[in-house]
Amino acid sequence: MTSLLWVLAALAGAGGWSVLALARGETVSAGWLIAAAIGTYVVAYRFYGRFLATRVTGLDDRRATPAERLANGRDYVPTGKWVLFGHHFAAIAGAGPLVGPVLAAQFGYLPGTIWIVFGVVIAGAVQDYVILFASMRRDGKSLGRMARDEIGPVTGMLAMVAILAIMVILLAVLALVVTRSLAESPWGVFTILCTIPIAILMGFWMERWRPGRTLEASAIGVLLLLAALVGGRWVAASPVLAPLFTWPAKSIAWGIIGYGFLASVLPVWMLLCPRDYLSTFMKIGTIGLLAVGLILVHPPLQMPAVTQFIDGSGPVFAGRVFPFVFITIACGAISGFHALIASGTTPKMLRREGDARLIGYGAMLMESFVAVMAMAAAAALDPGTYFAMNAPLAALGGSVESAAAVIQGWGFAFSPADFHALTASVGEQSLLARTGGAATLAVGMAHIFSTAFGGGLMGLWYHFAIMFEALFILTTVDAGTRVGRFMLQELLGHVWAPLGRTSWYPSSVVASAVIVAGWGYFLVQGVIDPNGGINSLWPLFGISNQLLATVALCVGTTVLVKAGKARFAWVTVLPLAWLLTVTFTASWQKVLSPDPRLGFLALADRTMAKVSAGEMTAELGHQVAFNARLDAALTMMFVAVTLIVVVVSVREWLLVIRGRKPASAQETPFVETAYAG
Amino acid sequence: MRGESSVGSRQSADSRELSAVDSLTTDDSRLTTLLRTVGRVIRQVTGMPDYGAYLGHHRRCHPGHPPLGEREFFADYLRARYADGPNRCC
Repeated sequence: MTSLLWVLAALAGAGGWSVLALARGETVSAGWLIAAAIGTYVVAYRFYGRFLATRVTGLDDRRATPAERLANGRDYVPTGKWVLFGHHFAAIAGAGPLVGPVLAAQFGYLPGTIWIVFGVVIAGAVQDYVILFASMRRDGKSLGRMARDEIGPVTGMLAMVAILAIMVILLAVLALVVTRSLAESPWGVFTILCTIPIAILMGFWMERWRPGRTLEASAIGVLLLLAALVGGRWVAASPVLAPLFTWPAKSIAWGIIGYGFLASVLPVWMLLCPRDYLSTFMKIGTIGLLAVGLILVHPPLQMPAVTQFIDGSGPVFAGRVFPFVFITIACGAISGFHALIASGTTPKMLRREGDARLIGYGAMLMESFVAVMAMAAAAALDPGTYFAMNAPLAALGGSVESAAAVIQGWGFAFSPADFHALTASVGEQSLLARTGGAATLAVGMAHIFSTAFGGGLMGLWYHFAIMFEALFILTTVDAGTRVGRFMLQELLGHVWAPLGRTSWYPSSVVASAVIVAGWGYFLVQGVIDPNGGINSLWPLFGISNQLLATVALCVGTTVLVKAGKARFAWVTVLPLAWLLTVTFTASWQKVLSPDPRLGFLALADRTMAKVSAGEMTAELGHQVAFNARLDAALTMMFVAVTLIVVVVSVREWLLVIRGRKPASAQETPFVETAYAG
Repeated sequence: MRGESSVGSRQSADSRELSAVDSLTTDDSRLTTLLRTVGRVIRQVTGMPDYGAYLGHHRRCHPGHPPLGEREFFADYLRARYADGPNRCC
């Protein structure tokens, strides 16, 4: 009976892929995309996941987990596997798997989907699983600690610095995505502003008025949030209130910067923690709703399977399909950041070793499915709408009519009247050049939701989707700022001890300000960038995230080799080799390409030439050129750090394999579990 | 989550919320058990502190030592959760 189900899943996957592969020139239903993905996941989980769990790592249910041995009722808590699956999924899923596929849809839906589905099976889920396994066998140690203990102190330090730098880029690009979706949108700005007093109210409720009633406070928070969403429509329609909440991108950017600083220095219970709960509820609820909606509606995919932009001439971001589809879609296929989560709270909660396969490998398959849904939602829009929303203003010209000429020139049908109607139906003044993917996804989701659940309420569903994205992106921004602050304080503590005291207020304020200034700088530069900012920041984020993944895979391989499993090391070496190829090619092109759309240095030169020719003001030109050179320097720094980590790791593997160094993994010794069965 | 649903301490927020319905019939107490389980699952998935579970753990593993008060436990929990490293991803 069960084998029949496996066969059915395999057939669904094979059927989905063959429809996608064979249909040329006719529209395909999103249902086939979903069938292909789910069929592949099921087969991969059953066979490759099991191979990793039993043969490669040898999970042992008789071995007590850290949650059992170190149980303290607080962070080391044995947790049921499905509950922990939800917990881990809620921690790893964020804006990355939603935004990346939307941007990559400029190549058509097929290249991105293939990478999302096969990338996760071979690379992303393997990374998450192996790091979770390694951390579980080491009392829940963090990635940085494992890098130091297993590979060496230099690697550990480099990993720390790399994580901090990546965090700064990540926060900047995510904040930019929110900024672009909220600019000149009174409805969106009002709703998101409301989340702050709502969170503070929840915070006081849980901490002061009715301590411990977290569920009660969250229920109230969610209700108020939905009220704010409905209220936003009324605000946007009011001639008095609407101008108060209509902010240009620059003001929104400064608002987010101020918010990030406040959230980092205020007590956690007041703002950060209640917002975290709110956004988790919204995230799980909305992703579930999207899955149901997509399956009910299974819209036709209007985007071609492959567009002409695979040659690198695409307006959304520059660069050919290789390597840039693999950079643009980071989370969803593989995300280095997950290694931090898989070596954070989750390994301290595993009740049995055997659960690690579902949590590590399975939850990442689920995240990949979120990315497939985002791709389906974007590809279900007609390509004209997609490009009008995602190409920068510099390419489209200032009006819908000028955009129409450009988009028709690319060979896609586009009707200005339809676009105006769409803009009005979602209650916005303009949808043109809303780069960053969030608004596109919101339109796609609003289409699906209003078809599946709520006839015609496009505006409400659109702003619901915007609120959902902005809410959890801003939660990442404030939580990330705080984590960055702690990491910086730890580093500074080596210089002058008092700076390392996280409870010393002046040190906290200074460290928070430094972190906020770091990402705030890139955010503001992204806002004033004539090409929309996403253009240069998103690839930088993708490269840094993938390079963090190579560091994680180095740690994973070292752990396997030292555990005497060198013959299985290919499971991590294979994705490592692929990621190195992809990221180094992309970095090379981003820094050195003579095409100013692609290469940072060429962009700097071209900008300065424009200034000399009087086509650009000196002030803006110098800023853009400086920023492009800074991006180039950062990219080279990431590459250098990764190279050192890879070289040191490979040397370590060879020493162990040749027997010059004992193959001794630093695992916590075996203790038999007290759990029955 | 074996055994943890039997947490019956007076100090637990859950049991305080439920003490009013203790005297009702068996069907109702089955419902309250279900509600309590649902509440616990939601707390664990979203990463909320669970004082009841902590008390249960404390009674089992450190009998004789006084447990942390509810406020102290929350403060401790939040410190561990938001200082240790990233707990939310991109």
